[in-house]
Amino acid sequence: MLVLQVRCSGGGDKSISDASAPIEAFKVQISAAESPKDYIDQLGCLNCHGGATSANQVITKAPDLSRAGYRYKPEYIFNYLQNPTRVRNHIGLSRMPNFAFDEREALALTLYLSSKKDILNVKFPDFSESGNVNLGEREFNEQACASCHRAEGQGNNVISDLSNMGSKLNPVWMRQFIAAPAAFQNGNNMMPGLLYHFNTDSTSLIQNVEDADEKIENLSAYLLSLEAPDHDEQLDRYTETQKSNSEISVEIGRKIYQAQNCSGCHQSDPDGQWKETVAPDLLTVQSRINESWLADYIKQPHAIRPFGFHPGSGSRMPDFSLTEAEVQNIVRFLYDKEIKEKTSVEEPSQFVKHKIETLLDEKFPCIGCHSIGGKGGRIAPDLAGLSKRLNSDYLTSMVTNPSTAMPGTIMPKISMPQNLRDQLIAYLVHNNDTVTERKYLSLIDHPITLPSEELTPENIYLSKCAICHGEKGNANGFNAAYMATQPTKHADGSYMAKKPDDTLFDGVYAGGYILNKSHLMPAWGNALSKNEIQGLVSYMRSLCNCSPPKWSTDDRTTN
Amino acid sequence: MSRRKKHKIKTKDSSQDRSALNETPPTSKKKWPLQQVGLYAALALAGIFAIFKLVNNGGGESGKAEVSYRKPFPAVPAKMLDNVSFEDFVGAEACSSCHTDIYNKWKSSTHGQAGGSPKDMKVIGKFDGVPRRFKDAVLTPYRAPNGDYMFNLKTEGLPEQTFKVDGVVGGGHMIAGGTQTYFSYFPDGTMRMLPFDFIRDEQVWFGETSGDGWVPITPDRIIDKESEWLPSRVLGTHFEKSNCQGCHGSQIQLEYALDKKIFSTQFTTLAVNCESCHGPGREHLQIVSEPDWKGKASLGFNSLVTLDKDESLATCFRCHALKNSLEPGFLPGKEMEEYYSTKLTMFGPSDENPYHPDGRIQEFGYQINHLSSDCYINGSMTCVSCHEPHGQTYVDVNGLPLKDPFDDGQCTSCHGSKTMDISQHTFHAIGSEGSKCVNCHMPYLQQQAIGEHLRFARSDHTIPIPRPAFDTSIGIETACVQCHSDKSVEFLQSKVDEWYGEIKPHNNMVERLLEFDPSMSLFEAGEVLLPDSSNHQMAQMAGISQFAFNYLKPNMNLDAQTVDKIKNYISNVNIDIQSVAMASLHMTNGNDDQIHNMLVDKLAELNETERRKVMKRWASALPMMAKKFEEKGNYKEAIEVYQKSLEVIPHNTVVLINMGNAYASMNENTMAIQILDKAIKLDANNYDAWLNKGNVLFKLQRTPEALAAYKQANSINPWNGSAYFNIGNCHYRTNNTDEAIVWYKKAVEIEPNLALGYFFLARSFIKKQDYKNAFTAVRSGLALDPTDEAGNQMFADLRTYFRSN
Repeated sequence: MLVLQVRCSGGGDKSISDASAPIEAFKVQISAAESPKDYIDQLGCLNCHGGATSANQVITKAPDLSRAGYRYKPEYIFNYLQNPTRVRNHIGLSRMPNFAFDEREALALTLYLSSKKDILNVKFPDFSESGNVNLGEREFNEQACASCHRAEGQGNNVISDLSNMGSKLNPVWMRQFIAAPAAFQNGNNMMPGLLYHFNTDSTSLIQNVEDADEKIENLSAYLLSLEAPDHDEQLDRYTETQKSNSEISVEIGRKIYQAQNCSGCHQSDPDGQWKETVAPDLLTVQSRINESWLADYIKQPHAIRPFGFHPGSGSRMPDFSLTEAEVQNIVRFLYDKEIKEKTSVEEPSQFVKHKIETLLDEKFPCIGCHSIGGKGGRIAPDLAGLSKRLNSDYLTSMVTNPSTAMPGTIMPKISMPQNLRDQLIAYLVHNNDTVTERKYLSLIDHPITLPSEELTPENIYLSKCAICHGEKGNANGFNAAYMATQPTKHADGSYMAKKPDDTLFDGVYAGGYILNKSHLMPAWGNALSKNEIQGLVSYMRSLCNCSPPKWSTDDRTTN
Repeated sequence: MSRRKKHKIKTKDSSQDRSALNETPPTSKKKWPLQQVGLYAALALAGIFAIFKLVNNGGGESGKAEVSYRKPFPAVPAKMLDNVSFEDFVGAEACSSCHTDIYNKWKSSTHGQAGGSPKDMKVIGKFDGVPRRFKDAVLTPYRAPNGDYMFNLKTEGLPEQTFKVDGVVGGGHMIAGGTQTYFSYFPDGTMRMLPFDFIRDEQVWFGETSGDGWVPITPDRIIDKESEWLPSRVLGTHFEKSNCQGCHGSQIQLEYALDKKIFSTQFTTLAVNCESCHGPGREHLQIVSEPDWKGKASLGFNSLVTLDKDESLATCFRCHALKNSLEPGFLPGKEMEEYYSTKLTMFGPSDENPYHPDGRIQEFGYQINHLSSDCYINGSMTCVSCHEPHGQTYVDVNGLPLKDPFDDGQCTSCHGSKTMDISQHTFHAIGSEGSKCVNCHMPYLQQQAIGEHLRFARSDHTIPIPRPAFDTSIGIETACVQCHSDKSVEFLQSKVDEWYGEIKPHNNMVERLLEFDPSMSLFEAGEVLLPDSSNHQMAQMAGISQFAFNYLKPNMNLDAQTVDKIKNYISNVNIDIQSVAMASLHMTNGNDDQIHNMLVDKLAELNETERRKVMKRWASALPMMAKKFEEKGNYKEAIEVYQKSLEVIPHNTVVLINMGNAYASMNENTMAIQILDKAIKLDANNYDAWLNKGNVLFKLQRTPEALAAYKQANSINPWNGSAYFNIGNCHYRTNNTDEAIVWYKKAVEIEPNLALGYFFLARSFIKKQDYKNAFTAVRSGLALDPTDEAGNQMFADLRTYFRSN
């Protein structure tokens, strides 16, 4: 790790260095990768991907968003989310990746972040807005600022370029931040408090230099005068998007924030956190995923599970714009031993392929969740791409016993005769079709479901049923739109009142097919305990607010 | 094997016409069934003829403004070429080299062991040389020195007969009644069932009696009362009991060669082989012999595991169903609906419905009553949901193997709910017999057609809920009784009430059938039997059948409301229901131009295949109704209905012959002859047409013409005793006694149990004063039919004569 010692020692007599308080030497850690593991750590891969504990470095590098609305102008957030670019130069490999948010998604997130306006419980001076731009510019260049920051081409761009501050930051926040950076940095003391001294135990500031307020006002006046060239355009676009999407709420934004695990990297409010699994286990990736595929994928990620690793969450694998060298290092870390595939699967005949395709279309539940050839659910990966992506041993064990192959997967084990399973595996292993649809689903047009992993009936319903049947049983889960048959409306009291509890149980237990309904509804009998299924039946009864037929209830009479 | 003897539409029993010979009272006699072969040839041609019919009808006289315009019926669309022939089948051995596992599974399965030559089969019958005595005959099953399995039969007054076993059917595998039956080649080229069966559990020889079911051979039984004696079950016949003769074997083909006057019987095996379900294998063998077969989209077969629910069931219902023949010539690989209807078996009066109102079989257990189970109606259950098709072992709904037919996994792989707390559902100790799903829900029911002498029970595939009081009320042994035989129905019902309280009601359509009472008015009956919709097609078919057979008459002009109710059924998803609804409206209101045109329009909406299937069923359903009018002596109505059938499919010889006979029964003999001539014109080689024409001519005393007709029939099929007998009658009437004797002798030679033949032979000898031969003949006749009045009189007269001389 490279440590750059910066001695902030200005020259002139009016300089900040004249201040009575000692000028702190501070360290700027320029992180460089020394081992492949550093790539993983600095990119924050493990913040989302399970499999190992992370030395979470990113949280100290990414901006604290728990007061984002206090800090940033919304149009800046809106634009940045769609076009994340490097802002900070001192955070090494860490970077804000691109989540491929469209305007509406960015708007939702912006609304959420902008709602975070809590003012710090610190007594700041009452700054006036009448600072002098020219004096401010002088301050910037003469004082320590320019040692680390650049503005209008002047200064050292060690930390970041401030040339767009006027279109980025909220003025109040900026003045307060210059006065006491430590108040905003949660102990991650990077920017020195040069003008005021801030004691983290206290809520008040002690002036370090003379005319500190005036200097702050001038500096901020200067910085605020620096607008991005396209600021007006950005503001227009934001206003326009907001106007034409009045239905998009802070709440949608909050769910997106949670689902994308933004709090994995950014300091966040508790309401923006969601602690459940958002991405696949990384350290076992070598036994699951083909190396060459992974290298291509992390270079240019696309949707594997179009609406979230945790079904219905909408989580995405963002694009880190990795360089070829970065990709190689990451792959070198992930593939630390040679995996020999045990399975040798003979290519099936055309006849078997056609047979399996028919079964996928008409009998197997697979395409309730998976898609193939553009048809089928969007919960799980496209079946066409599996053979390129997955190691055939893993593919085989996933088809055979999903929960062993991938602990925690939603995919239930589907019972079938061995000969059919073998043919299905052979079909999948030898399906080299290209996946045509690689886009994530809109986080606005599809309801996001974020259950907790606690195994209550409601959570089981939310994590396994709601993605099709809807959170409230209205058959409007995100995946419903992608199924040939509409899911049963568990909220439909008149329909559900005709169904005995045992029928509901059996449908969950053995799948829709046995009830002469859709084969796309899988049998959960191998994945849920009978008590859990019984819990689901009771939960469905609460959704329909109805009773089963009288004959089916335990009302036996002795007369 | 079916022992079902319910009504079928066929031509009049034409074995002999006694009406002109008042000397003997009419007795009922069985007939040899072979004259049916070839009757359907005209059906295939009907489409062509119908084109002319259209022109004649003036249907095309467009431009003429007519007040009432009746659209012509469309022609029956010509059948698609289904190029399956006997040569396309390769036999199971051809499959064994690639599909070895499956072949081995099959080989030891009940299908694989369903039949074969005596050399290949395990013969369970005791061919021990021990005589089994009837009252009037002695049967000795024995092994010939060369190892052949043989039967020797000595019948009083008749020459001794021996039969060699050429085919064995049934392995005696089945739980609750396994039997084996033996087939023998006959001189006419047919292979016939010998009505001496063996049952595994009781270890006895038995036969089927008329009225008393299956009865072991005992000295109080008269062999001529055996319903299958003479051997009349011909392998490969399609129109009756085809589930026996058509299904106990693979790809059985029976053809009659007119030039050689002989039948040819072909089959791949008497077992049920791969191709019985998968269809012909020749193309498959050709394709897979090519090196690049793996890249071929078609391997000459369809995968049966991909079939949908009803298609999958239909594969098994080729055999495991009661069915009516629509056309001969079915082979696996052809579409069954073109050849057979399963639900037309229910089209008849309720006392002839082979199913109880709740779908349980009345007579002989075919598993098609699974269609009445809730597992089918509200579920996805097919045969292969529980039965592994290759080994006939048991599997759960996911195809995973189970131990045996009593394994709960058959049910609980769907009904997981019932395993939450098993004893809460069963009220029997876990692990006890009463705790096994199938013991209560699929009990082995003694098949009613078998009677009570031998145990032959089959598992109830309607998968009912035991309802002791209800079950007993419709004559079914309720499941509880299987263990609790000492308990009264009242007790059992009270236990059910106590344990379960209110139980699941019957399907609404079943409740309607139970509610129906023939004393209801037509309106009431329509409300009950013809609901707007139902998910229970079997019961729906029963409903419309009961309505049709209780209330409908030709041209009765049903009221608009009832018409609407039946019209609703014309769009039913089931083709049988659809067809009988059309037939019913055609019969009642077909003279109304509007209704007629509506029916024609409906036909036009269907695609060609559907239209052909509907028209075949429609034209078959009408004669089934006509037959009932005829049975009640309502010949005029019967003729009207036959006429309507001919409107739909004009050139149908079966219908024409029936119609001709109905005219003859009304003594409208000129019309009768005219109609029979029409049939002859369509099919000059139709045995029945010539025979029935002969009967009418004989009745009209036009004896030389009658003789010519009978001779024509005889030249078509010299294996049928009827023509011989009737030719004898002509000669007898014209005092050509020597000639009469020759023909009567041939008649009894061909048909050795034709008692009338012997009596008339005796009468001819008497006429010639050859009393010795007369006495021999009359004794033979009386051995067959000891109650015949005229025979007994002759016997008494002759005895007196011999005593006094």
